[in-house]
Amino acid sequence: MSTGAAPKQTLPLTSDQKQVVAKIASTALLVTGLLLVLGLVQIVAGPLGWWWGKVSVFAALLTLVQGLLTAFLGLAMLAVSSDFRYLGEYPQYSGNHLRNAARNLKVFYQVQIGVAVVLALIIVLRLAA
Amino acid sequence: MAMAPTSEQQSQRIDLGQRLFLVSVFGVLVTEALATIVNIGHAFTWTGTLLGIVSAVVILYLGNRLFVGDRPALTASRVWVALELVLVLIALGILLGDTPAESSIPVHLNISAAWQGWLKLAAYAGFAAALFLPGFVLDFFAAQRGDAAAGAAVAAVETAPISAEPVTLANDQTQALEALNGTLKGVSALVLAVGGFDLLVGLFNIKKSTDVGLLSIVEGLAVVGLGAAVILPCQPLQALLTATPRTMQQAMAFLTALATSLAAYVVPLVALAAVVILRLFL
Repeated sequence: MSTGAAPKQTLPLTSDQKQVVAKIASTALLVTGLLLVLGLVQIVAGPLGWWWGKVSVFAALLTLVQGLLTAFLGLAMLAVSSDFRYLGEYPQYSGNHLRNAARNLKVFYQVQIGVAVVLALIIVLRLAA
Repeated sequence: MAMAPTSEQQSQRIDLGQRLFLVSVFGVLVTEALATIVNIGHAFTWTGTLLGIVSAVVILYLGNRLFVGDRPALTASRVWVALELVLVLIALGILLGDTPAESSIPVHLNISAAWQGWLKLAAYAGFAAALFLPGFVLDFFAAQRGDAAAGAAVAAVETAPISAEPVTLANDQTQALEALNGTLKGVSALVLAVGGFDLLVGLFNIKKSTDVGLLSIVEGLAVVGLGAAVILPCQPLQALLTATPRTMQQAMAFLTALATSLAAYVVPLVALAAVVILRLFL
């Protein structure tokens, strides 16, 4: 008797289709790296811009928040990358991995709403300056 | 069995080609309209205004003909785009030269400032790349014409044995995909709106400072690019969710669109990082 969760319905992936899934995983990993770099750049640039007198305190804070959210986007995308990697590697659980990927992608896009709102605020500040 | 992924990719290419074609046509149209409106209030000349209006009308007409796969329209569009690129390069050459104030030629070509020239150059270069380079857009035109290869590719998608392979999703899996579908639509609209706003602010700020304005324009274009990337998987995901019964063809169409969408994040993210760094040193 197995005590683990029984595999749910799976996607019958062929070897060619697994390559598409693997491509998603590798692209998501690349996007993860870029998002983390962009987030780090924004986290540094916010306070540095204020220190150098380029932006106001509020704009610097918003840039810092934008950087933190962008870095979080990177982490969400890392989870998506793992989900798709597992989806290709363990087809018997592919339905569950697809569900997890969809949930993590939803989180990714929801956080993107936050990033867009913060960016809109920064643009308004830039316009007023 | 090996035909299915290739055929799906062909179908995806045609779909992406259609989107790229529409984006490039509207890019040119918006650029021409913007330059004409700005120049009417800023540096009015009859020749410049007429050229702007004619350019906007011609691109709409040619775009319409191209969309239905008209082969002569492709040749006419290539000639027209090449001509426009030459005119833009002449105007930019004068504006960026040593004595731009002494020449009225750029204004007569509907370009009164360098930023207009750069915008037009980007828009027409993008359209030229779509028309001249083999790729998604030319595949789309071929499919619209009903050329043998493209037609066979589409037919292969419809008849491939793998397409009938059923996909049975559990309730929680369907709900997760439905929630994702709802989120995608809202996010794409918001991100596109913020990108458009950034673009407008950049155009407004370019009068105060060219560098600051240009950085905002690049940032705006990158954000619009991200918004466009978010849209890509919407349609295939919707098709997968509404289909009964669901097939592997639909699931793979969604996954392929998602792969394209994620790949489309790369260039805007690099551009955004470059903008943040450049802003520090301006």
